[in-house]
Amino acid sequence: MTTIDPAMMKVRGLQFGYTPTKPFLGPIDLDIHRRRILAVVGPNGAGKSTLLRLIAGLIQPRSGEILFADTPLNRMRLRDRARHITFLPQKPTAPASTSVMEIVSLGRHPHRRFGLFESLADKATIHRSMEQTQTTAYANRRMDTLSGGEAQRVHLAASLAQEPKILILDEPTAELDLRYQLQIFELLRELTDRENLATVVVTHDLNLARRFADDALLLSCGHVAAQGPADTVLVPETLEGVYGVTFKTSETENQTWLLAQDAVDAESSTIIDDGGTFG
Amino acid sequence: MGAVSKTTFIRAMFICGLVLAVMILVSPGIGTQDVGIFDAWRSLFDDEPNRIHHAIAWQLRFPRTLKALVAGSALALCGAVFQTLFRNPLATPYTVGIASGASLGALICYKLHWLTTIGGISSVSIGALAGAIGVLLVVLLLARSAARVTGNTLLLAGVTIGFFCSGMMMFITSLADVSETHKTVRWLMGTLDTYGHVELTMLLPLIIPPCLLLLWFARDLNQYSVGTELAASRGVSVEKLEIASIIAGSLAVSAIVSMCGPIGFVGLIIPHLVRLGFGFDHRIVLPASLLLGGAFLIGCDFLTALAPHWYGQLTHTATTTARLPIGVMTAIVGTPVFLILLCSKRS
Repeated sequence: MTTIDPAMMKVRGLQFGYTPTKPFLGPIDLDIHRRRILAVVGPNGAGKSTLLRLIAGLIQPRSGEILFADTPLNRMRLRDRARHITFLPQKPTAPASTSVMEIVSLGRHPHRRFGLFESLADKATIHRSMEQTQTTAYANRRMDTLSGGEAQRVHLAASLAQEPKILILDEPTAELDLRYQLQIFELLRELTDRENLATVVVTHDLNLARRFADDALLLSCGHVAAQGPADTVLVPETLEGVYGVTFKTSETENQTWLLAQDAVDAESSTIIDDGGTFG
Repeated sequence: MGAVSKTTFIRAMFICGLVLAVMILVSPGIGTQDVGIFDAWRSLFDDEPNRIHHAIAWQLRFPRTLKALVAGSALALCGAVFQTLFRNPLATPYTVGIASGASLGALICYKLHWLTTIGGISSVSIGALAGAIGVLLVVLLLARSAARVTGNTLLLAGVTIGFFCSGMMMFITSLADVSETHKTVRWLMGTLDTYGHVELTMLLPLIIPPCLLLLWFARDLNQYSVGTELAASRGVSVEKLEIASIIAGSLAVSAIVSMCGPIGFVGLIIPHLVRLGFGFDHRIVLPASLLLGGAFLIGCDFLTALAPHWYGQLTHTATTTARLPIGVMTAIVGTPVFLILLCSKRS
C-alpha cells in the first residue's frame, strides 16, 4: 500500500466570485499532495480554470484560504511563491522568432534577483529540464517551427526550470493529437513520481485523467460534485448527472474505459444524440 | 529571451555603441556651414583655435547632437517598451496618444506664455507632463469601462485621444498670428532648435531616471512578452510593471516633447530594427534601442542640414543654410526603412 505524504497545499472554504454577494465557485476544500496528480474535471464553465488560477495565486479568493506549507498563499512574496508553484496556462504564447532554449531559460526568473545573465547553476537546471522533457534535440530551433506537442513540451520544460514543488497545468493537451496527449500525460506521471512534484491538471479527457491521475475533483457549475481517488470519482454514476451524458464502461487489462453514450437533454431528460468515446 | 550569453550581449553593445560613437565624433563637423570634421576637432585642441570654427562646431552643432542623442535614445527605448506592453508592433508613445497629450500641454504653456521654471524644471515640461498624464488617465478610464481590457483597446483609445489632441493643437495654432503660427508649426514638426527656454540640462532629471528604470525592467519585460499569466506565475508583479513602465515612459516622452516637439518614427522603427538584428531579448533590445535611437536621430539631424545643401547643388540654385525640421527627416528616412522592413519580414 502506498503512503500519502502530508498535504503540501491545503485549500479551505475557498470561494470566488466577481460580485461579493454571488460567489460562482466554491466552497472548495482540497488537499494537494506530493507525488500525486490531481485531475480537475468538469463541463465547460464549471470553474476549473478559475480554481487553478486561485491555487496558483494569480487571483485572490473572495473567502477561504489557501495554505502552502502552512503559509497563506497571499502572504507569500511573489518571487517566493514562484519558486514553489508554477502555472502553465492553456495556450502559452511565445514570440515567433524566439528559440526553444530562450523560452526554457525564462523559467529561471524567480531564482535570479540580480545579474543580467544566467549563472552556471541556472544553465545546469535549464539543461536538466530540457532533458527531462526530451527537448534538448531542438534546443536551438525557433518556437514557430515546432509542432503543438513539441511546443507544449518546451513550455513544460520552462515550468520545470522554475524548480517548482507544485505544477499547475490548464488543459496541457488541448488541441494536441492522441499521440501527443498520451506523451504529455506519461511525462507528467513520470515527473510527478521522479521529481516528487504535486501536479494539478485540468483536462477534458476523462480516460486520460482516470489512467494517469491519482485523485480527481469533479466540478459542476462552480460546485464540487465529487472528489477523491480518480477511480472512484470518474465513474458513470457521478459523471452522468454532471455532463448530461450517459456513460458505459469497458474493461481492458486493468484499465477501465469510459465511453460516452448519449447526450441527455437537461430539460426533458431525454436522449438527444448518439455520442462516441469521451475525449 | 533567456540564455543570452555575455558574448552576444557584448557584441550587440559594441556594434551599437560603435555606431553611436562614430555619429557623435563626426557630428561637430557636419552642418550647413563649411566647417569640416578636422576643423571642428582642431578648434577644440589647438592652442590658438579658430574662434568661428570653435563656435560653430562646439556651441551650435554639438549641443544639437546632445539633444538628438537624448531625444532619440529615450524615444526608441520608450517605443521598445510600449511595443511589448501593448503587444502591438505599432505601439509607440505617439500611437498611444501620450506624445500628443504632451504636445498639447506644452503648446498651451507656450500659448499662455507660461514660461518659467519650477524647482529647476521648465514650466513647458510640466505642462507637457500634465498633458501626457491627462491622456493616460482618459485612455485608462476609457479602457477600463470597456468589457475587456486588452492592449488593442488601450491602443484604440490612445489613437482616438491622440486625434482629439491633434485637433486641439490645430485649433490653438489657428488662433495665433502669422509669426507665432510659423514658430508653432515648426515646433510641431519636431525640432532640435532651441524653442522657448527649455534647455536640455533642465530635462535630464525627467529623462534619465525613467530610462534607467525601463532598462531595469528588461528581465520582467521578457516574462511579460510570453503572457501576463506566465509572467505572474514566475514572480513578476504584472500590474506594477505596467503602471511603472507607462508612467516612466510618459515622463521621459513628455520631457522630450517639451524640448523638441513631437518627433515620430524613432520609437517605431528602431526597436524593430534592433529586434531584427539581435532577437527579442529585452536585455539587449532595450540598451541597443537606446544607443541606436540616439545614433539614428543624430544621423537624421545631419540630413536636415545636408539635404537642402545637396538640393541646392543638384538644382544649381543658391544653397540655403536653413535646416529641415527633424520630424520631417525622420519621416523621410523612417518610412522607406519601415516599408522595407515589412516586406523583408513577409518574404
